Amino acid sequence: MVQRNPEMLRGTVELLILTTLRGGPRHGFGIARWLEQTSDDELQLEEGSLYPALHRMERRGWLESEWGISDNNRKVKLYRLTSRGRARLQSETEGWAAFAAAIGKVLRAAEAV
Amino acid sequence: MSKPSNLVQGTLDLLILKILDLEPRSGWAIGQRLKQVSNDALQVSDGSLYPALHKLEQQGWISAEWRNTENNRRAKIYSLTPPGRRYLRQEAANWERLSQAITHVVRLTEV
Amino acid sequence: MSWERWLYAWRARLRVLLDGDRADRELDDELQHHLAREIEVRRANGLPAAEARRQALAALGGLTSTRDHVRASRFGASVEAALRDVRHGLWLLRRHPGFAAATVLTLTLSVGATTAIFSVVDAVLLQPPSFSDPERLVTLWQTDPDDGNRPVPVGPADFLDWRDRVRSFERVTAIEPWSLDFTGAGEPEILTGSLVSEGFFEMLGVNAVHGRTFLPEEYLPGSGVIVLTNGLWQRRFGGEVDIIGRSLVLEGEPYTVIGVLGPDFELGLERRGERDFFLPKTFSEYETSSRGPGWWHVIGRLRSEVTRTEAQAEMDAVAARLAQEHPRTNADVGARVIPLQARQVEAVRPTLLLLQGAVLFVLLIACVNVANLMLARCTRRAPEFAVRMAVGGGRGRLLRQLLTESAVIAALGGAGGFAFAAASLEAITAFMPADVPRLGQVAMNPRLLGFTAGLVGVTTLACGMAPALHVVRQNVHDLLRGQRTGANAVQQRLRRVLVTTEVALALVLLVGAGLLLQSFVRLVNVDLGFAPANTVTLQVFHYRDDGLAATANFFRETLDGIRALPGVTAAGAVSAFPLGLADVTRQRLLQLDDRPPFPPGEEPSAAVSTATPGYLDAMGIPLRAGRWFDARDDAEQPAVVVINEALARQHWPDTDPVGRRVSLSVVFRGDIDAEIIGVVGEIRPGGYDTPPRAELFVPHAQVPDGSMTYVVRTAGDPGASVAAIQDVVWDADPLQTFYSVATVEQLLSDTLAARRFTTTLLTLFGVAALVLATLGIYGVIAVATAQRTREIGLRLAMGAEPRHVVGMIVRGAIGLAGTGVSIGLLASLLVSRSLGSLLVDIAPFDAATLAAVSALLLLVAAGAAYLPARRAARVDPLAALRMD
Repeated sequence: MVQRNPEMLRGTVELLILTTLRGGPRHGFGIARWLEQTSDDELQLEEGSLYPALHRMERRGWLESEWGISDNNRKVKLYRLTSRGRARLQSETEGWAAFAAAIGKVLRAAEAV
Repeated sequence: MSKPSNLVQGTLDLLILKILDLEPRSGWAIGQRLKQVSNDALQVSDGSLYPALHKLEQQGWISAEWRNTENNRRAKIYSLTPPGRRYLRQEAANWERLSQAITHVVRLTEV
Repeated sequence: MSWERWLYAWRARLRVLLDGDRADRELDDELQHHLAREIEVRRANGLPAAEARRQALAALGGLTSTRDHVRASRFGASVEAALRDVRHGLWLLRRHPGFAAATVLTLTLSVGATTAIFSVVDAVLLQPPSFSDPERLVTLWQTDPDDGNRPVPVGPADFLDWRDRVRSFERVTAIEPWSLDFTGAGEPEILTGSLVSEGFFEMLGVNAVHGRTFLPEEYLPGSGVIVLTNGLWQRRFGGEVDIIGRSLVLEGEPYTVIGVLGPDFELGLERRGERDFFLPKTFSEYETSSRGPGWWHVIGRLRSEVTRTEAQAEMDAVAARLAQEHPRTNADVGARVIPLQARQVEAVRPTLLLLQGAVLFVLLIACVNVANLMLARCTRRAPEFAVRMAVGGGRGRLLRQLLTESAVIAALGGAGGFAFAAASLEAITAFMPADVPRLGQVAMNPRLLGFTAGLVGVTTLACGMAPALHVVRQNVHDLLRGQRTGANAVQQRLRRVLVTTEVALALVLLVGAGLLLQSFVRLVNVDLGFAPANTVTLQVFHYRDDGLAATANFFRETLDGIRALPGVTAAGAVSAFPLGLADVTRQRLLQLDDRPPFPPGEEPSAAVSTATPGYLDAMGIPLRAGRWFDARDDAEQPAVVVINEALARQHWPDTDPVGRRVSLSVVFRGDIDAEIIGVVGEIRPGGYDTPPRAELFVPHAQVPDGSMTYVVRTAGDPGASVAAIQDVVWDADPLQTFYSVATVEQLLSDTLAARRFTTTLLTLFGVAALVLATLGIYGVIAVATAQRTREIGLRLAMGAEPRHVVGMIVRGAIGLAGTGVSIGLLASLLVSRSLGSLLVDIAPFDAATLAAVSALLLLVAAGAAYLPARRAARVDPLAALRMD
């Protein structure tokens, strides 16, 4: 496997979390697991960036959390999208599309324009 | 459009390397090129460009020399080193995979 | 990192590291270029010049901040910043040369002295001997009931019994001191060495560096093999390897050199033993029956499972059995196990421990001083810090800079200390008494240097940082408003405590040095009982097979020849020279004619030596009654003796002993009954610090001895006559060797070497402590006075006399020092006791010394305060009031 560049994932954490929670409430670990499974292990959120992002997003009102029970009967904190979060997801997704397109354009440029 | 600078930060090195892959340029020209190609979708501040350039130089991916430009101004011109070229290929491939994975994940839920 | 990228990377990094200024200039050029292009673009779009420039700058996010960002992201950014801080630190030091000099000097002195002394202590006391498993090597001794059960060398037969019976040791070997005349090439020389019993080198785990040591079959009579020490090999054979296999003729016998030992081989059991050679020991019939305290050194290697206590217990049991089996020789004779290393360093241990203590004191004082200086600096610079913080200088940056400054000081002090240690180490080793073991191996110990430098470095940093932290935590406003904050009072109090401590420590050291100095002075002023000046001694062992009469003739003739030499005023010879290296005095029991026979065990005794006519004059010993020996007292005449005052006082306190008779047993003559013909003055036989003893002289013509020391008194420099004296002796016997040639003054000086060494060093430490304490007092008073400038100005403005101001400040300093002196006096009462045996004729609490040292410190305190006080008194009152 090629060396990963965690730098590149910087700035997409919030997009990925919002995206994941669109399918319903999940706990932190569940978010990371879902992302890994869905992307064939390509997207790996480290705890060090996942949890700070969750708290930040909760403070901003994009997410709300409640205590729930996990599959194996453990008490866990579940996060769900708020309506503000849904709006945010919309703009983040658009922003990502524009950004990825721009980068792609730079990378695919064969000659100086 | 959300926090493009945050997004860009992670890919700035990649963009600089790619731009220098085409031809050696000065710092200013690199900044111009970035704005031009991306139609300002990538708002790279000039302030963050120079630290990145100097860091890449000291990592051995790019090298610099002082040259006279067209209007007889002295400018510091950056160019890709051979190891930098290999590094660019690898990082570009990484980006491809990563961005596709993100796009895939994002679309999946939209459906 | 591939090598190619590595090349590119380091080219770029080195450019920044090696020439940071140029890198900075280039960065400025690059950013200016960028700005110029941006402005061009905007102007091309029709913006006015000023607006174009403003926008371009904004786009870049400010020139300065971009520059800082680049710098911070650059490789080696921290290195670069540190270098900048170092440069700034050095600049500051140059701006405050007094502070810098005081601190660096303090560090240099303390790090240097501590490292040097500890290096010596480490090499001599702490490093094990250079043998394998040295901690299991022990020396074995007999205890002599007639000599206060002191451990003494061992009798041969007892050694053989030990070797056969004791199970605690892997091996036990004996070393017999031996000497051989070397008359082969050049001047005849007496070589000192040892006969060693089988397994000696194997037991120590020592191999020859060239050739080999002895094989088991070579411990037989007539094997004729010899192992040389490195010293002899270098001295007489120029260190040539082809010495192996060569034949040496020693006292007429050929010996084949089979090996040379390494330079670090040192047994250190005899003051001058083991110097030159080793021979295999074979046992004679006589030795298998000679018991009781003897002259052999015994070394054993403990079995790994046996402790020293267990070995001692077994030796006690064996000694008790031997006492039963041989009551005549071994009654009450014990056995003692002493680790080899302890035995080696026994004599120097107290000295070195004392010095170690002294050096610790100096180190403590130095730390206190550094703490003080750093505190003072911080107080003085508090306003500067306040301003810097007020204009938004980061606290972290300020702290980092202070840390760097402290580190610069510590580094300078450390470097100075290193140089000082290296220099003083040479002086110390050159100056140390030569019989200190392993002196040749003393070298600067990097571990210790690291330790002391680390200790002082940490002190410097801690003391540099603690007040700085305090300052930066304070409210900037408070700092700016003035210095009269609570923190300042705390600091001032802390610094007064530090100075008091310093004065107390210095007092203890100075009292110790003072006591030792006085002891020394008292010692060298002691009446020796003889006149040491202009006298030279030559010790010989003249044993030939031509009979006692020939021996007597040899010395008579050679002395006649010596007396005829120009410049010689008197010459004689004596068997037991008072300051001789080899103590050949014989203690004999006496019976006195005018007393009933003393019961056994209560007989009086005296040190008996054989002397020739002329000895008394040569030594400068006064004649008290009767006469000294002359040509009349030869073998044909009735036996005569001369006694000294001490013996006369013991037995004839009120009458004249001349004409009385005394009987005793002497070597080669058996019992003699002799008339006392004279009484001579008593002398201190071992030099200054040995008491006179009862002595009795017999005439050499009547009791000849081959072991004699010539004593020759000359009109001028006695050393100049040595060659002529030796020629006279070689005329009589070309093969005669000289065991020791020295002036009496040299020998006397040698007896004081250890004491002089200790005294000088302790005095130096005392002086160092005094200097440091003076610096400390000066620093504190100077800062305190500077802070009181306003108050002083007010007093002056109100009409106070300048000399009253000076008096007030000086009195304050004396008060400060007075507290320290009181504490120091109490401490020195406790500490001076440890000087113990080093003190001569003076109590550990000598009032005069205590008073003198106290007065000295108070005087120094007053002197240190006077300068700042005078400066303060000259303050222009108005200017002082306008301050703040």
